[in-house]
Amino acid sequence: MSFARFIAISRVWEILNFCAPGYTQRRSRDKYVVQFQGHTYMLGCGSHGKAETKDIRASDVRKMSRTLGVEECVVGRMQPSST
Amino acid sequence: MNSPDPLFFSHRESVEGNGFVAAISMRGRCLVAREQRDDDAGDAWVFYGVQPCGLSAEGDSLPSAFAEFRESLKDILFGLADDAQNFDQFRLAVEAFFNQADSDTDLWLRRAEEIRSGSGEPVDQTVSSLSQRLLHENKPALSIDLKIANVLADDGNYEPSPSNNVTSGFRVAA
Repeated sequence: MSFARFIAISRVWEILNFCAPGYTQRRSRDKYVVQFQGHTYMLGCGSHGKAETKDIRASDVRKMSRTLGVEECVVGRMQPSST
Repeated sequence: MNSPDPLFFSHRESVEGNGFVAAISMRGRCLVAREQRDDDAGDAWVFYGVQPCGLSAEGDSLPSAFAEFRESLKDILFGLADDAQNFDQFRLAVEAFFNQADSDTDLWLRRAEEIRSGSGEPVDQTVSSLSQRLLHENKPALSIDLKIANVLADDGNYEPSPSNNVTSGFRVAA
């Protein structure tokens, strides 16, 4: 299975709205603290002093989906054909 | 994630909080996988946290991915210190972060048992060549020690503060 290497942060929030309704996110240093149903994931949004990016690593999004317990839904919507 | 390899990692960090300095020491678990990128940048090494599970990091080599993982971990600990009003709050937040689990725990155990039984060696040669091995029955461990507490600036002393926590970085000299 091939994924794009990065996913736009706006697309990540869209996917979470669908797969993890009611999730919350807030910024903490170089991370977004994403919480859903008692699970917490620290999603990277910068790189230690380098310019902040609007794109999130796909591997980070996949790991977040496992931690939040919504992997099947999230990975399905990360496919290029999924809109 | 292709068949990842199970690793233990160690990390020690001093973190300043509101009026305290804490020393954090952990032996955690993670998975490392070599994943194909869809561009011409070559394979990526990806560290996936298992305990703690709430983070991942990526790099062009095993050492660079681990360095990124450690910087991410440091950044998370610093963020938890930002949010804590005192040492007890900080300790509880770090413990909650460290003890959270997800489905990667089962994968980590399965891969470690495969390596033990000989039915599955580490997938990557770089990992396979690591000479130091630790029995997977060893439990993850976390200690959070209060080193300096209740220091007040008006005593003329140094006052610990989360704002003193900074991650490593570099800039172009011009």
